[in-house]
Amino acid sequence: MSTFGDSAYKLAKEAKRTIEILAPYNEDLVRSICREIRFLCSVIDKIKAEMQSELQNNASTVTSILVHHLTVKRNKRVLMAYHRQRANRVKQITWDQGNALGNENRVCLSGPEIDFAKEHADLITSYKQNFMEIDLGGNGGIGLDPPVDLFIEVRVLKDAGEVQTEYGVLNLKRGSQFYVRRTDVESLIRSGYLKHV
Amino acid sequence: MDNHSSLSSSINITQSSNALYEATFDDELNTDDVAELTEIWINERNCPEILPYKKRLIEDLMELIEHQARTTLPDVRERLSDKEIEYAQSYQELLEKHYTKSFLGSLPQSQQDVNEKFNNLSSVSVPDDYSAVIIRGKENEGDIQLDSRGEITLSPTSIYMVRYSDVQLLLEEGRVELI
Repeated sequence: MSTFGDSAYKLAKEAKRTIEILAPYNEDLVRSICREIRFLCSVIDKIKAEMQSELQNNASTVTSILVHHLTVKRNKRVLMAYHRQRANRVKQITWDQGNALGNENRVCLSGPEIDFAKEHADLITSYKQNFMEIDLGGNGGIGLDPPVDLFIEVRVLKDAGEVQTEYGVLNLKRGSQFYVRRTDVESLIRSGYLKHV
Repeated sequence: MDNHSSLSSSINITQSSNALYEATFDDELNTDDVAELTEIWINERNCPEILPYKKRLIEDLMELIEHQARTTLPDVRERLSDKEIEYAQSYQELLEKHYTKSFLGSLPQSQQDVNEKFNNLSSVSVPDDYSAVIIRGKENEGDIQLDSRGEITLSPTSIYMVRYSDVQLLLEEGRVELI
């Protein structure tokens, strides 16, 4: 039998290990922590009920309630931290890539996280509608970094054929690289044809 | 009298064990008022008849509490635009919904609250007024006494690293800039 708090410890370790990446959602661990919290709470309730009926108020009973309670709180804290870290990562991804989560990210997310990603993207879109005239970035558009150059180097990710710009025609063939004016290609970056390198 | 002084000293102890950021109000807190309130409350409890209502004292204390509430929790709403408030509220609802669907919903009723405060750990983080900021004066204003300790010279050429709480007001008044 495992000790109380073990699963939470594992999840905390996992969160720490995957702080830079989006790892698959650990449904099993989350569930077992939830189960443990439910169990601990039922134990606490039972002890409390016995205390009331027998008026036994000795130190060991109180200590046992406290220890169970602390474990519940710690477990909950780990769950909050884990989900918060992931939610932040999901927000980062939707900000960078727009509504297109991409398959490699989608398989790592839980059901609620996929909903969260979509609804958060909607929220951002509706906030940005107040500032139609300026591009606040996000949704695959310009990033949060201030633009340094008028011209940027882009790599073609998908064939897009010929594109007319002010400076002539670009033949966008997959794998090729161009030095172009940022504003000419922003929409192409957003729709995933080009990548800013 | 003996009783009185031991009461006020016990109140001081609870005050000093408060969290760090609350400690800044210790000097503002009129402990005499608190001690007096404690005394009349004990009198009231142990008295067979009803005692006179200390209106003045209660008013003073209420004023103090209101002032403290304002100082501890600057209303963030006042600093946000309507659109930002709208976004912040929707986002908070969205996040709570996400937590509920992910795990809070399957916990016992008593554990479903998002806001947790346990000992001095809170799930709601507040800005740290004690954190260090780097400042520069906007004009030549000469020496200024800091709340915590020491003096700084406000001028566009002098750069200092100070506690945020020390320059919060100066920043609001536009007398310093953060760099």
